[in-house]
Amino acid sequence: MPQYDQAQFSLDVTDEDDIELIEMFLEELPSRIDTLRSVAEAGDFSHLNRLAHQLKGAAPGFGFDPIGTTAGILEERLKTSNLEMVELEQIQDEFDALLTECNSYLKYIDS
Amino acid sequence: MPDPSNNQLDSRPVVLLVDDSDFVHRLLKARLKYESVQLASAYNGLEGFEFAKKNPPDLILLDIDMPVMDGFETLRCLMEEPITRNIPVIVLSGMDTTQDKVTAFDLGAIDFVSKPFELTELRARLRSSLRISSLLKMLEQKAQVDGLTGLYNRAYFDQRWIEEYERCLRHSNGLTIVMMDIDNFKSVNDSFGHPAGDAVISGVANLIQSHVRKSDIACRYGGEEFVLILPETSPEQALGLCERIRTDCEAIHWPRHPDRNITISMGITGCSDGATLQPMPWIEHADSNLYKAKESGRNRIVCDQTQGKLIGLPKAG
Repeated sequence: MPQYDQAQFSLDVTDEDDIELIEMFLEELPSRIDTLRSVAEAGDFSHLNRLAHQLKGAAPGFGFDPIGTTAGILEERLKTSNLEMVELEQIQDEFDALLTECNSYLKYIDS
Repeated sequence: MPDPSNNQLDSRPVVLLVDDSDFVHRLLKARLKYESVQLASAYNGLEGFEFAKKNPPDLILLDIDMPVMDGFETLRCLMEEPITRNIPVIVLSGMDTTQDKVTAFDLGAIDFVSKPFELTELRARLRSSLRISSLLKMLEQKAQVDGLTGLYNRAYFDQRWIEEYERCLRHSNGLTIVMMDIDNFKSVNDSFGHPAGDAVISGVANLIQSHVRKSDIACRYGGEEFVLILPETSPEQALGLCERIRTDCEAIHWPRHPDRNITISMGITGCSDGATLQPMPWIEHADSNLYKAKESGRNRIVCDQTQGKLIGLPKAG
């Protein structure tokens, strides 16, 4: 059972119900990261936009505020671009920031 | 999703969540588990609308930004459909511009919650919307019900009769209307006082209510007059039901006037396979049958088809 650092979570890491939500999110995090990567590499930016939009809305509810915030920034960036014309390099910074946040939580997953 | 066969057992209000993000479904499922609600799920607007038409929930939580059919369009559909029009809808959205909020409220949403949502706030808003909607339901019901008898009132009858008439027209079903009037009612009031008169009206109403089926609509038409709408019922079938009401009525014992029994006269007009009269002439026709019943001695029924063919009771053997 990994110990959760309260500073990284916006839910109460001593509360049973909150931990259940945190773990629910963590469980799917690796596959979410994979999906983000492959969608970005494939250049499917409208799909990426949808994923970012969903993360922005949902991550904070599970205790992952920083993921929500960075996803929101990526969504904003995509929103101001033409999704048909955009190149990965143009959104690289925002995309990397989101992945960095996601990756920073992987340490809580039992390997 | 709640199992419809269990609805009688579980009386908790049903909350339908319409959102394309699986995150949100899981989050709310976990977060609402201590609320006294049943959660149902739909993953896009169309699915949500179809679900709501089939099993109208008590409340809908509706996302705006969805594929297939977005939340605004879904809200529009819900408000245009009579079955779903009065279900309160709380809009959930990540696009919380003032214009979005205004659009949501103008389309008929009861409340708006921005994503990511503060869950304690969402829970409070959910409870508040459920409270308002149960009051509205109560109000709506009160506006349809006659205070003395508990039957539907005249205003409800006027509206329901048109609905049933149109349904009959669409499906070529049976439909029968019964006009009833308590015989010599004025003399009850004059001889025994108005409280006794009121007791007669509500006693007869109870008798009627105890005979009609769940699908029948019993209304107080005015003073001592009642009207029954019997959907999917031929005049022949209606006559059987009404004859039982008539004979039971004359046998009722009235404590305030044990020596004065109460009888009713009725006029019935109906069809067995589609309307041949317009709604207003149909009522007038039943009313003139009631008049004939009165003219020919009261405590009797005059029954015919909308084409005018008279129907008599089978001779008792």
